[in-house]
Amino acid sequence: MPQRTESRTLRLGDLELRRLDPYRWVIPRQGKMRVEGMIYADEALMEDLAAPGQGGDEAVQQVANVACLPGIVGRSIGMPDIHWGYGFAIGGVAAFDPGQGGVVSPGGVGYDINCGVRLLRTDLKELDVRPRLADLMNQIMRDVPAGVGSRTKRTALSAHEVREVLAEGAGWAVRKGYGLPEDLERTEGGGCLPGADPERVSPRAIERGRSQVGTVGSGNHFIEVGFVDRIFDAPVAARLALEMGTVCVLIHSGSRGLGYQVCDDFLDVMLAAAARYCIDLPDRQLACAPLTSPEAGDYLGAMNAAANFAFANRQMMAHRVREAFARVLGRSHEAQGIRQVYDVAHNIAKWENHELDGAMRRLCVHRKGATRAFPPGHPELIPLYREVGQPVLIPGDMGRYSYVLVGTGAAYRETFGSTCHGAGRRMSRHAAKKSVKGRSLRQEFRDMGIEVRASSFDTIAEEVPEAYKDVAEVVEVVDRAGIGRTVARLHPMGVLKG
Amino acid sequence: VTQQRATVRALEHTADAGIEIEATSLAGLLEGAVAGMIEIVRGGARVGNGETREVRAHGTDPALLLRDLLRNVLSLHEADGFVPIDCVVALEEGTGPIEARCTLRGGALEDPPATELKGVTLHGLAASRVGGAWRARVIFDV
Repeated sequence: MPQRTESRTLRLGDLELRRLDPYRWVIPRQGKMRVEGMIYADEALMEDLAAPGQGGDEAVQQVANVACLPGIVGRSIGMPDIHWGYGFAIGGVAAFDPGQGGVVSPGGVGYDINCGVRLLRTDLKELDVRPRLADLMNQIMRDVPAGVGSRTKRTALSAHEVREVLAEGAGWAVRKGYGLPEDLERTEGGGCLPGADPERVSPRAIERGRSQVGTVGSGNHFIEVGFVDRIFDAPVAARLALEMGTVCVLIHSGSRGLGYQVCDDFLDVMLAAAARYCIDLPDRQLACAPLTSPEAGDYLGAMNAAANFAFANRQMMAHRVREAFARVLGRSHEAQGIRQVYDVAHNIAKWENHELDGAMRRLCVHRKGATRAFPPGHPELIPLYREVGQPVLIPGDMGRYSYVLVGTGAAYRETFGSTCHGAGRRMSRHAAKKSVKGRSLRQEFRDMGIEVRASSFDTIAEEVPEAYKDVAEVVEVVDRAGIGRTVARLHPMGVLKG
Repeated sequence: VTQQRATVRALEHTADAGIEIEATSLAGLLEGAVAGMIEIVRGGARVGNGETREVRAHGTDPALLLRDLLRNVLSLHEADGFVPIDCVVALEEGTGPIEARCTLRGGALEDPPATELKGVTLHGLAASRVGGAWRARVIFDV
């Protein structure tokens, strides 16, 4: 049971947290922690995290565990959507300095390498789509395979082609006619991360990827058609081509079975490496290797390749969505103004330059369930967004809303240019299913004006809105803490769940 | 899944899925873990019953042996849709890593699977003998 020991401290499990301000809680260094931990949450989110059965003590312990890894710099960070993961908490950020023995850990990226979100906007308004919404969702469901083990026969690739995807990322898909060149410049890293090494990806991983490019997958992945129902920052929204009523599409998926296999393969490598380099692991899922080691080089080569697969996956799905809009609404996607706003990863480790103790350092930043949020003026941003900051895409649950934010200077200074990634689960899948027994979920969503499509009832039951925190609360904390700036809110109309 | 030598309990986990297993022997523990994992994948789906497969696993300790076995069974399912409804584990313990041979009886799923498991994590992975009982805990990434 959480126990409040005084007004500005809170005990969760074995750890005491100290409230710095209304949105920041510090885990002071203790035990083997090399740096302190920091969790971004207000009182309400922290109370929710601390409630019995929420696994909050485990999540906070995971932030502390990460703080024990060699070469970690700054702080071990938990975002407001933090929840109990494996190894790293979901919503965790940590940066490692190779000059201080810093490490890379597959557990700090997760199984779904480059799980991320793509946002498309259109010239359409809600009422342009509403009358054909059911047909549109049916068409998207036909064109984009979704669900457990979803595969595509339409674009099944040879092993050679998968290796091309691993090297070229979203650019491969555009080269094959799936999308527009401008999509690439509106994708993190141009949709192709440098350092990808397809030779480090196992034959088994490549086999798993052959029929999965252009598929949603399962779990919390989705394609959502919605519209802008609130603008918080009109000038920035205008730069992102978003206005009240604009119909948008969010695509949430990752590297599918290929990425899972890369993670799994390298956990074994990293376990052996951790023993070889005498790294004391607080949790075996934090298995890691020094960034200067050959094992780290191999993992980063394979991880970047898997990340490129994920960019290509979302590129293919975006193309299919454009085709579906054209077919159902009877006008080309160009005539409907369907353009990409941005595509950003939230499970990744990347080499980035950050200022630390007054000097620029090249660090390996792990984001597991956290989104890059570079500020206005950052040299990696394309000219279109350089003045306003990097778009940040925060999906909520399928019944309420999602958000568009931009990165800030405070995020760059405090969190290695990172912010939250979603609502964050508050119920286990099992508990969610139990909670909806006897309810007609499809009808409930229809009554809310939302057309839901899914391959099984179980998926909808596991993903009911009450299984998640209210993403509005998460985004409010991010905005008030200054590690993200809210631009617009999207209201769902149609959801294809994996 | 037919499993008489172990007790399997689902773990509540906000991100993922997990199971705790208790058995009187390490072989029974492994059989129970396979049964528990398959229950998550399968849900209420019907399974064919005409095939027999064998997988091998090894590990330097019981926990890593458990993970290797579960990964290999999951790989069978991922590769060609095979789902066991019964498994029998035989252990081969020598001076090196512990090895297990698992004979699986089952077939293809006749209905859609309930859950896609991305991986068998190392997070909190445990398998050890406490008193007279073997106990294990494993978390799957969903």
